[in-house]
Amino acid sequence: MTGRLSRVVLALAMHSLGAQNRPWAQAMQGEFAVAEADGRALRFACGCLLGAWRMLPRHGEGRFTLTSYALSLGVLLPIGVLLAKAAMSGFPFVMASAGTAGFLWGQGTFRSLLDPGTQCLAPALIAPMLALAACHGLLAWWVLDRDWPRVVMASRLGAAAITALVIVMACAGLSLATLAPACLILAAECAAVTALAAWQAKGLGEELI
Amino acid sequence: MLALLAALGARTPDWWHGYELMKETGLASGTIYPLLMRMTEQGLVEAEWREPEQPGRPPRHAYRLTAAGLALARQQNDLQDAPGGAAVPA
Repeated sequence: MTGRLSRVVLALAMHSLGAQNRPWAQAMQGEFAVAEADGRALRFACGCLLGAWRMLPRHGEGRFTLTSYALSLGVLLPIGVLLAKAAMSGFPFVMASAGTAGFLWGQGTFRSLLDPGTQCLAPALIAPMLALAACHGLLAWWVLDRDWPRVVMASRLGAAAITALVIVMACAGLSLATLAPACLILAAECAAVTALAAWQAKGLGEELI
Repeated sequence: MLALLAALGARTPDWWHGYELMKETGLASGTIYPLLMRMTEQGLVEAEWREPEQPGRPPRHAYRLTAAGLALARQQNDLQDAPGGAAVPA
């Protein structure tokens, strides 16, 4: 068990060093066999991993990895969770007395903006919101995976969900202004993901060391 | 870096393996490798691949000081030996 864990930790360390430091990753692998024979494989592998992580900001690929994790775990996933939470609270066809905080944290009172004639559109409003939230989960995963064709596909699904939401909201006679902040955030996200893809396409930049 | 420099300088021109250096200096692998990488880039250390001692094992990287590294190690040694001498910061 410890042996397998050590190998996983070493593989992670080798991967974290990036393509440009491949010979150093192989050097670690060479010494790992000796450390393993000495019964100190896990300690050696953990040290390599810490060293590799400390070096991440020093090379282009490491900076790219840190940025993509920050974008995925710090922006895309939280926004996906917030969108799902808002959808479950009834955004955008419910008015919360506490505004955005009301939708996110369930504070204050809620009043439906749909009348008896448009009540049947509620599921059609919730579905695109949930689809948009799900798109964020996929987007976060595929950004980390650097799978840009799938990132484009998830972005298109997100755009389709927003378009569907706008159409159904218009049919329900709801104010489209409530969607403006969400659209701005999504546009900023799109710009960030595009910049990340362009960064990788340019070859991840020069070394700092 | 000073401990690594001293260890490498003590056995010049012999080659060292990373794990031997760890044992000799007491530094962890997470410290040794970034130092070796930096010193190699600065031209203080040279590295070469060695065939594995046992079949089935991967090749090993070996390290030794370059002329510039050796000069720095000696300069460092002289500074430490001098009365009231202070070490050059790493």
